[in-house]
Amino acid sequence: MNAMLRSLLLTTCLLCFSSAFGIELFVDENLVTNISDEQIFPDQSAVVSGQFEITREFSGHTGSMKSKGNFLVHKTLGLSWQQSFPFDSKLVLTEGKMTQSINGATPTVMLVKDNPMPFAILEIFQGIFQNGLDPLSSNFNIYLQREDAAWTLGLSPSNPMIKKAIATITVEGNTEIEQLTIRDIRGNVQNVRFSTITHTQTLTKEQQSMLRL
Amino acid sequence: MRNFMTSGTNRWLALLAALTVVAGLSLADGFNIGTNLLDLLPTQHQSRLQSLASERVANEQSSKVTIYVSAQTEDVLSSKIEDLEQTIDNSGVLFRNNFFHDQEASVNLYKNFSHQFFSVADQVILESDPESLLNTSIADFFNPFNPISPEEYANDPALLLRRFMLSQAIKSDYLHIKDGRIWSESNGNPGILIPLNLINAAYSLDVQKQLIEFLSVLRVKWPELQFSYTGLAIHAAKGASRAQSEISTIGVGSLLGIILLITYVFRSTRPLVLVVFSISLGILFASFVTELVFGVIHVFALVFGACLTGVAVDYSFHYLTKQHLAIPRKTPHEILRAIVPAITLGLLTSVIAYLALAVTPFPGLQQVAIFSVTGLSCAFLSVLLFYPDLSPEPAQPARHLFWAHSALLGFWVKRSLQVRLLMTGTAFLALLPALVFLAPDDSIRKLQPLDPELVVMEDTIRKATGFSPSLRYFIVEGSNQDDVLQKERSLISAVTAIEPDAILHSVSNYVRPRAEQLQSYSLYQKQILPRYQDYLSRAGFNQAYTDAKYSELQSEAFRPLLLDDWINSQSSNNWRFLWLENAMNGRSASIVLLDSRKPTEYFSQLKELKLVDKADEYTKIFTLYRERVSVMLLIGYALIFLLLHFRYSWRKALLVVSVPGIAAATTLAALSIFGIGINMFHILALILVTGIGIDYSLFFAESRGSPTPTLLAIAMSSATTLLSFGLLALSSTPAVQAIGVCVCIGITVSYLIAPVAYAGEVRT
Repeated sequence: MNAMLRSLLLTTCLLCFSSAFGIELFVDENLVTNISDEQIFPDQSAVVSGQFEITREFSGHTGSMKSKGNFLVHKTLGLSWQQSFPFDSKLVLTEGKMTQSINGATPTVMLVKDNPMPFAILEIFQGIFQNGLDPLSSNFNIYLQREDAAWTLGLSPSNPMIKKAIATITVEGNTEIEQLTIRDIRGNVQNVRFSTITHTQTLTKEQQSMLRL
Repeated sequence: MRNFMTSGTNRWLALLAALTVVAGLSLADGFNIGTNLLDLLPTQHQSRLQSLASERVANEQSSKVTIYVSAQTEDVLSSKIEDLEQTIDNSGVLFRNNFFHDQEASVNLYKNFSHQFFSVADQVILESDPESLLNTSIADFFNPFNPISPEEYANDPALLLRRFMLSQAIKSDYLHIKDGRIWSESNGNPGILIPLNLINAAYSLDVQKQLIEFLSVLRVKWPELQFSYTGLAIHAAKGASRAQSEISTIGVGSLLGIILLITYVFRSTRPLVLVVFSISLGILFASFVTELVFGVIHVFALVFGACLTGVAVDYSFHYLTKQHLAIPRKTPHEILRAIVPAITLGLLTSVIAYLALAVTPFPGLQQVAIFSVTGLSCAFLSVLLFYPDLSPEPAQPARHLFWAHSALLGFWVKRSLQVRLLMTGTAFLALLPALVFLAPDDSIRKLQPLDPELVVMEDTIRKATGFSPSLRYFIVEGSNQDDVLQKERSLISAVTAIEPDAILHSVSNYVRPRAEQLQSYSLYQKQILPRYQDYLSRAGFNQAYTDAKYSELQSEAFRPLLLDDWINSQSSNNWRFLWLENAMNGRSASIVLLDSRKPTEYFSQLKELKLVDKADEYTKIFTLYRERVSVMLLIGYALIFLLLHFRYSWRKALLVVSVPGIAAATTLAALSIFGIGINMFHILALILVTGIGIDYSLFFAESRGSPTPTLLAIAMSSATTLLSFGLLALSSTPAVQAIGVCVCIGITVSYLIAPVAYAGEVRT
């Protein structure tokens, strides 16, 4: 069965990288309300799209990263993430598969069983916009805080694989989703801000092509 | 002699009691039973290196157990799994393989050597187009869904180490990790695979028993879960327990038969007690002496040695029938005197046959020899020393058995010696054509049938994982560590050249030879470093940090990852066994395991690279043993003939030997006619047949006066032997069955033709 163990390397080492390069932080679990089947956007639009802007602060003040682009989340088909700054790259997350392509080069593919993390994040988007929060509980402990229309969703990984990389994920919004913050276990913070969001029920031709790579 | 024995019996008994206590105590203290088949090989048969490698692989395989547990739904499985894992952790038999931990250790080990370990694909791209690697990597770094830490990127902006570690993995389409567990759904239902290690050595019968008990506890405790498990230890345990339960089922039946037979014939239970006394004494002292000489008794010697009871009862029966049928009545010492020549010759011939085994270099056969010689001598002495006093004159004569018919005697003894010789000679010639077509079959796969339930389980696990355990390997030898690593690399390219699908597990997968590491290091210096600052600033690192990091990397001197670094790291937990340090006079060596669907012969085209096949190795042991035992058996016959020649005319000596000879030849001919390939166990059974057959013919050859008591003695002996060992023919364990079949045929034939050796007058 040694061969089997060697095959596991593929799956585990990705996440081991995260914990091997840095210091661990304690998980911030200051969020209160425990939810079960809450719906943040009751209209459950099949298609949600808009623009994103990511800023990532590197721990130890070694630098920061910024990127911009368009995104699209479909209720069942998955997610498209098109970066236009500082360089073009396309990312499509569909059922069980992550495909990435830079400047139109041959795409690289990664499967959910090799690395569950991107798909856990896809689930968060679909949970917020379309499918309700219940499915998220398979990978996360979930907390939801509401104040008038404003809401904060806090997620701390319960899946030990994700736990090795991510400390907390926080999503904030009001009548629209506003920002998503990923805090990794080494203290690096990645902040994604969303803007010009539209909710529709059907995909346009252009949107359909966004989900293909 | 008579006075000595009469007056001395009390003293003998006291001595015997004391010796029995000593032997019993020392055996009870720590009866050391070995079950490892490889222990049966002569030491000079393999080089030290070969036996070390073979031992390593065997230990590795035998210490591993895999449990695959599945359920109707994922929820059912998820709700039980923690409890199950806890039960395993508390079992005291098994511990779980902590692969996560080992993986972390791996990353920690390599992260200091990230500039000299590249995947094969990256090595090529790095030469021609380093930019494309850097571009893919920076996109990965920007991917918010799979965050790569800035620390990792700054250290390795081409993400070479990450890809090297991924390339180490064998891609499995079947498995995925969830919640830190290995899941598979390829059998339809969701399942979890639990790789385990045995806490104690797998070759202990106790450990095997504990393991089987623990596994059955799991099935009882969680009836809603389906368990499959695999591992050499489980196979061994199942095989042993099946053989044991079969032997005990058959044994109880035959024991009853033997008890009834003896009490029926002698109309008393005292003879039964005497027979049991002789046999127990034989086995007790035989075990004691064997353990004293070898320090361990191999289960092989124990099982085969126990068969000598079949020979040991001959002496008892000869005495008892003579005593019960003596007309006129004789004193016990007169009886003894009458049978001493026959049983002494019987013992001597058996000792000769067994001692022939002792001079072979095979530890298993030596043990059998010592065990049998001691056991037989004890049984012989028990008759000689104790029977006259323990067996008073019987009140009634013995009953006759219908198959101990005088017609059998009449058929042989009314003919002259010459005619009898002619008849046996003709019989032998008639058997010859069948003997010519005798074919051997030593395949271990046939000798050790797999438990059908385990086969199903193993199939389930194979379907769930896509892997089956590898029992084939190459041995690589070199003048030093680096030399071995280099040779491993060339071996791997030679093998993958003829079999691209082969998966090889080697130390050099983890520790590349020094030259290769240096080459990678130079490539990194040449292709990545000049672009380093550019990519780091594109990724968003500030100037000060980038410059500092750059000069740090630039000034970094080449330092190879050493084998010892790896060996001492936890990351080598699962593979450390491959390295054979200082195997031969300071030379280094290693094992390279092969996973491939191609048969072993396919790899013979590699010429000097010899693939070792574990299953073949066992088969070779059996072949070697079969051949040696056959030769020794023939030599034994020659020696017996020589010995008998001193006492009898050559004609009569030939007749005496012809009884076991024809019995053995008939057995072999029958096997040949039914197309059964002969193996070591058949030949070992023939030794038993020879030992018993020669007794029968000697008892007749030494018979003075009426041969009727002798006929009854051998009728009793053959009936008990058939009841005990003959019934083993019903066993479904091929080795046991082989002995049973041979004993059945051989003893029946011996019984039928034994009177051929009778020399006295016959009144019919």
